[in-house]
Order: sequence, then structure tokens, then C-alpha cells
Amino acid sequence: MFSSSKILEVSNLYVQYLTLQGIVKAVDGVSFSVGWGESFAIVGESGSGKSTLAFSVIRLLPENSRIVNGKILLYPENIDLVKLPEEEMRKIRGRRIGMIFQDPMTFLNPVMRIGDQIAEAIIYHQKCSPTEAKRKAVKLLEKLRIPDASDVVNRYPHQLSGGMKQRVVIAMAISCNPQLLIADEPTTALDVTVQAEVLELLKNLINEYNMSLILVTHDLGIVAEICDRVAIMYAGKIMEIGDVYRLYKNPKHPYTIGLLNAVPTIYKSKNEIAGIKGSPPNLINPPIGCRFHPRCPYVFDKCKIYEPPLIEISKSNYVACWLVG
Amino acid sequence: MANRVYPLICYISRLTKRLNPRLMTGIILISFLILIALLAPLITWYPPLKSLVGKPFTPPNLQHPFGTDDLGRDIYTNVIYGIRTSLTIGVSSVIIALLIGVIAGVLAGYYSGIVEDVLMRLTDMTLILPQFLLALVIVAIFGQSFQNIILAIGIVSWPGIARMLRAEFLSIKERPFIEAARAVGLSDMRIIFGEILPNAIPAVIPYVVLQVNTAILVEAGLGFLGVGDPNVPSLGLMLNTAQQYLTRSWWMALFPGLVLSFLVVALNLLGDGLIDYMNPRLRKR
Repeated sequence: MFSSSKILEVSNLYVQYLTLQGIVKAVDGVSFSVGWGESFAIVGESGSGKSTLAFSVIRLLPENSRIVNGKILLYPENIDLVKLPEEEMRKIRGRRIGMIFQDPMTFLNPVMRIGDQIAEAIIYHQKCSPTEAKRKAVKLLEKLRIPDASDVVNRYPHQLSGGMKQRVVIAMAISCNPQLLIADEPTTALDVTVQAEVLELLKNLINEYNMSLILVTHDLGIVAEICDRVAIMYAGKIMEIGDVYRLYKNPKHPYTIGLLNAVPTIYKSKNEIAGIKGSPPNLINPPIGCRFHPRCPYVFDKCKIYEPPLIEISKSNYVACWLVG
Repeated sequence: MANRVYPLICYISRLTKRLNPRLMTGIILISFLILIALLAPLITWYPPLKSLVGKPFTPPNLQHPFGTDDLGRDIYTNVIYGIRTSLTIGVSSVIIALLIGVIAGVLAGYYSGIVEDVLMRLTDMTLILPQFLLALVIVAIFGQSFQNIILAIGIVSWPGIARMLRAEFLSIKERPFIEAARAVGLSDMRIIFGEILPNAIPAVIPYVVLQVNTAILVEAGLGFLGVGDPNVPSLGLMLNTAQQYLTRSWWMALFPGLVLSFLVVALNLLGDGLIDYMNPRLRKR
């Protein structure tokens, strides 16, 4: 029903970190939107600004960072999350936007029982009694297929396995039925078999509750598994946005092509993994022109001077490259 | 009966294996002293501080196991009630110190900037004043009552607690689960008292126990210098009186002194043992 309308729109966002070496332009003019019930992936290598982007949506950036410019609009009320006072933001976190973190081992409080940790957010946002919240916590864990949930709520984090902890983290994120879920590399800390289970679970939850998802990852396999659309980030900028099928089948940007080539497959035997030569630029002094030009195999003069804008190649498919257009 | 007692014995023996010997001794001694303090009216047979219950300067005998002092008060009775006073003052002054210390430390650790600066400079200012001297001045100004002594000791012993808690908070507030708590939208107060404080408390428990010890010594010191509350049986006050008659009646100094040392040693063992017990790196598995 809402598939065409948006839930979140980020426009022209600039986020910087103040460090002793200089100003790091971690996110540099990024725009994208996420539709109702859509799964949107942000893919990039380490240091490309993808996590910064995700954390700025929920406004949980470290102290030395600032959002310099741009808007983050949450629909349907058109709230600008950049300008929202902290008090109001607190009501959005958890209730409207849920967050799943990378490492479940460190994101759970070691001295609190599992049930209390999940119940905490429920009590705060839904104003219900502790016993009621605890009952809801048990239900959530059962929903996440944790065996013997009524016993698990009374345990401490160190008594659970990694996969179980990640499920508890997911339970915390969805405890107040948010419309938008942000997952920051939710499976990196898990074993491959557990990864598959958690992904499957996440996929079902999104469908069941009609939630939107922003998935931040560097694993292209996960993206293909659960996402509808992908944004490829490089050095603080979006290089290419498109629906998953088109982007995997027919990548347009040289960086996307390089990324997809770098993924080993089980169909062909490769002796070497084809990497992209060079390393990501220092974001204190990013290269002039296209950010990717020093590593791009198709570089020509225009790339070194002018920065390519996001060019629309078809409906909701954009590429920032002078080769297109 | 036997099959009920046996699991209990097993449980206790398992527990004692986990505790180190110092902690074990400390717990036993302190429980013994607390028991004595609680049962004081049952195990003494004179009212405390009542003069002329016997002939002044009576050496230890069956009626007066520890002898009597210059006013004919029974030393045994006063020593037993003195334990009560010492423990009460120690514990209640530390509770006051905890109240101030927790608030100051928690706020300074969680909120950086001006709040931290003001609170920490205040802490430093209290810290540089010699504890004992400050307590002495406070009692001298506000009067030698039992409540004032407790307040004075409480007021001088909070800075350590505040500093330790602030240090703990500084490190714990950077840990990821605090970020997770913010991400579900919890308020600052919930994060401070629900998430961070329970993680910070184990680090200060041994310090707090040792602080009870210091408080008892400060109270005894105040009594020894003659600024204790004369209406309450106090080991320090008894030692103060005893020094004038040290050459003619040794028992007046010996028994209060022994009991005071016993109390301090017991608390020290408990505190030291707790430090080892709470530190997983020192604990033998």
C-alpha cells in the first residue's frame, strides 16, 4: 500500500570529524531515500563513511563529529532529524527507528539480565508495567526462535552464545515496533552458519511487520539475500544507486565493477582474487574531481578536474561517473 | 534431617574454596563482632556508662572481667557497647559519604565540561585537606554530638568515592552497550543508574569497606583527643581517660585498645580480601 511512498529521505548530507590531523569529511554530500517496506543496503569498504551515515540517521555520532549540512527527513510527518532537539530525538530512537549493532558481545550490558535489557525500552516507550514488559520480552524472544525463552530472559549475556546474543540485540531493536530498522553490519561478528540463520530471521521480520531496513555492510552476498536497492559508497560519496538485480547484473560504475569482481565465486576457480589496485584516499584531503579517479582503470582527463554528479540512467538507478551520460 | 544438612555443608565448602583465606577470616571476624554488637544488652550485666557499679580502679575479676575505670564504670560493658558505637559510626558515616560521593562522581563522570570541572575541583579541594583535621574542625565548630561526628566523618570521606566512580564512569560510558541503550531511546538518568552504575559498583566496594575502617579510626581519634560525644560509650574516649592512669591501672587501656585493634584488623582483612576477590586477574580459578 505504501510501497511507493518514502519513509526516510536523506538529502545533501555532510558529516565531518574533527581530528588532530584535520577535518575528516566522512560523508560528503550524500542523498538517498528509503521507501516504505523497502530494504536498502549501503555497501562500501572500511572507512567509506557508511557507518557514519547510518549513525547520523539515528544521531548517535561520536562527540568530535558534526553534521555540517543537509537534511534527514522522516516521513510521514516530515520531521528533520538533523535539527530535532535531543529530547524529541530520544522518542524517535527505539520507537520509530530501531538499531541493530555490529558486535552483540559488546552491545549488551554484562550486569543486566537479558529480559530486563529488552524490557527497559518497552517500559520507557510504551509506559507499561515491568511485569507486562517482561512478558512481552519473552514473546519477542520466542518470535526470534530462541528455545526456552522464559528461561533465557533470566540469564546474563555471558551465558548466551553469539547467535543468541545477536537475536537479543535484534529483539531490543524491534521491541517497540519501529517502522525503520538500521542494521550496522549485523552479521560480521557471527559464524557463517549463524549468519544465514540471523539473516533469514531478519528477512522474515521485515516482511511480517512491513518494516523498512537500512543495512550497512561490506558483504555483497548478504545484500543480494535480503535487499531491494543498494547504494555503493566510496570515500564519503555514493558512487552508484540501483536495484539489486540491475546492479549485480549490469554494474555501471568502475568501482562497482571492481567490487563485484573482487568477490570470489564457487562456480569459477580463481587462483587469485581480483582486487582493486591502490587504497582508499585519505578523507582529510580527498582527491579533486572524481574520488575514485586515482584507482580507476578507465580514468580520463575530465575525471581529474570535475566531480561527476549522480546521473539517472533509468528509473531510480543513478551512477556518478563521466563514462555514463 | 541429614540429607538436608549435607547439601548445605557442600554449598558452604564450595563457597569457602572460592573465597581467599583473608576474605574468609575477615567475614568470620566481622560477623562475630556484629553479633556481639547486636547482643550487647544480653551479654553484659551493667548499664553502659553508669558510674560506681564497682569500686573505682578495680583490677579484672569475675564481676568485672575487664576491671573498672576511675569513675567505677564497668570496662567490659563499655567495650562491648563501644563496638556498637564504632560500627554504627563507621557504617552511617560511609553511607553519607556514599550519598555525596555517588552523586558527585556519577555526574562528573557522565557529563563532561563545566559540570565535571566544578565537581572535580570541589573534590580536589576536599581531598587536599587532611581528613582528620577537617573532621576535628567540623566537630569543634558544630558541637560534640553523636550525629555531628557521623556527619563530619561522612563529609570528609566522600572525595575518594567520587574520584573512583568518575574514573569508572569515564571508561564504562564509552562502551558499546551504552550506545545501544541510547539507540533504544533511554533517558540519561536510566543510563546512569540502570546501565552504568551497576557496572561501576564492584570497583568501589572494597574501597568502601576500607573506608568504614578509616571512619572507625577517625572516630576513635576524635574520642582520644577528647572531642568525642561523652554520652555515648566510645573506645577512643576510654583510651583518652586511660592514658592518665596508665601506670596504676593497665587494664583501662589494654582492653579497649585490644578490641579496637581487633575491629580494625577484621575490617582490613575483609577489605583486602575483597580487593583480591573482585579482581579477576588476581583470583585463582
